[in-house]
Amino acid sequence: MKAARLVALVSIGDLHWSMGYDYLLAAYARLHQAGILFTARIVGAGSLASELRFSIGDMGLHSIVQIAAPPADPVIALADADMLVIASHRDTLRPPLRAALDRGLTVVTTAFAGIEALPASDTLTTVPIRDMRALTEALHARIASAERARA
Amino acid sequence: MNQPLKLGIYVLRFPVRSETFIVTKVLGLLERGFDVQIFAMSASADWDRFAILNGRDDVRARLHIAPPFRGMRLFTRGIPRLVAIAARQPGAFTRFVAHCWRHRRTNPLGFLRAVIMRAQFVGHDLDVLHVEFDSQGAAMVDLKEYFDCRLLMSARGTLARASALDRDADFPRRLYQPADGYHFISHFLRAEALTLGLDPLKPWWLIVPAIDLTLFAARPTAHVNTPDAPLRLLSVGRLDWAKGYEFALDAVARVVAAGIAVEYTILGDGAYREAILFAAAQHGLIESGVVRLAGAIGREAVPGFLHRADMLIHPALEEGFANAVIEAQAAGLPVVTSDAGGLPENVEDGVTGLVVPRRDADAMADAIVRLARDPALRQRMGEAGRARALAQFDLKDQIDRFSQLYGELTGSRGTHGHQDKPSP
Repeated sequence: MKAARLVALVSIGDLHWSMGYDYLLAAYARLHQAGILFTARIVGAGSLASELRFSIGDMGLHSIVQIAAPPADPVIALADADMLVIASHRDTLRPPLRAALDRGLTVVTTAFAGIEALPASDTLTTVPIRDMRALTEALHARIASAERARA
Repeated sequence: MNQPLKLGIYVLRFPVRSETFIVTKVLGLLERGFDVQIFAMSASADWDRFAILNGRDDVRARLHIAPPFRGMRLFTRGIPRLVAIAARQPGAFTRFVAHCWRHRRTNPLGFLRAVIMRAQFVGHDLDVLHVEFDSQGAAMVDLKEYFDCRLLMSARGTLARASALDRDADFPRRLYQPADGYHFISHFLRAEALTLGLDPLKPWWLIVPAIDLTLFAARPTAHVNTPDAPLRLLSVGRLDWAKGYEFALDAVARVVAAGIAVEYTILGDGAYREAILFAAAQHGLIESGVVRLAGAIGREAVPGFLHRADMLIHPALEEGFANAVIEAQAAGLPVVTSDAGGLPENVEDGVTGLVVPRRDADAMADAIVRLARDPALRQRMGEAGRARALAQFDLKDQIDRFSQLYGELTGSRGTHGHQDKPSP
């Protein structure tokens, strides 16, 4: 029997402090410690590459989180994902976010300035910026929903 | 009479404000009679910031900077310096070029870079080449053969974060293999090196960082903080990702939300300033006057800041040991620190401070609140920290240990550091 694929999370954007990846990885580590199964990709390049790679190892996430170089069109990175996750401190409404919502893909995002312009959606969860507990809980709930939907 | 040991100290720049420990170590070794030469890749603008280097032309004469290699400076300064070195010592220069060719003949650009950027080594004679930061030493290891000397590496921070690992997963082994010995500033770093491929049979020494304790007097009794006399938090260190300041700011925001009046001063400067300032502003901590980024200050001004503070906050994500934490303990200040790297070896949890999980702002906030509400505990921890610093982190002891290390490494002493036994 074919093993069920784990829920796949993706984050897209420059490897820069403003994208909040330190918080994202810390939330992933909490989920991992709680026994939640998932895989995650961070699609991007930038000045924090070494630091994020270090953090992935430091938090024991080697087998769960991968950093991937960005394709020419970042929206392509949504193709295999079950969920788009944005932990940014000050993002803008980038094409991957709009594309994810247009496709009905689940999105968990921090409530950065401008997010209120998006229409309400059942697939969209917003959490306060820099609130790791809220981010972890939202991810946990959405991963559980995705697993239930597959069952 | 025996000739003094000839030590080559390799660093990227000298002197650097955030690397006071290198300066104090060099001065201490010179006092002990070692023939120390300092080799650096580029000049530093920090010389005048070190009062202890005032009038030390003898030290300046021992500093050898690499000819510049990039841009127009290669032509205006680099090549003329290279020519001058070659003209001054043609035999040594020829031997050096031949050595570089033997090691880089498959990479002509690498050969040229190796000749020019290491020409400051030409004409010297060393017993020991000491690469003070192993992550910066990959291009230097073959000089062991050129000098026919012992090669010592120091692990002062995690190699796992080195950008070289992004390009070459085997990078640590290329450092470890040629080293004759390894110096670690914490057990954590040795454990990491072993996981990255260090031969457990390689001789090694644990010498923790140390400070000039004469600069740090015991601070006055802990003050009772009130809304009119806020709790004074202090952090000291480069504004760098590794220091984890965003998580400290998250913690401070929670402390403020708990109704505790706080002032948080961060000393230091660096590339991560924008991120830290943004986080503080996002929490409303700049506008409310809670957080102040006070910039970099001279080494001599640090004790004054420590004496005016109630506790040191050290939220690092990655840390070898942290001299700033030693200095705080020496000043009698309790420390709230993360558990990154060697920090749990530096602070005795529950005795000289509180150690909390890294990246855990809630835990850090809880620790700050606990100390905020208990001045007597702050006082006890401060006193214990000062006693610990006096007993374990004295610069004079550290110089003794390095003197012994160099003696052992070169065989002029009987023993050879720690050496694990082979597995049965």
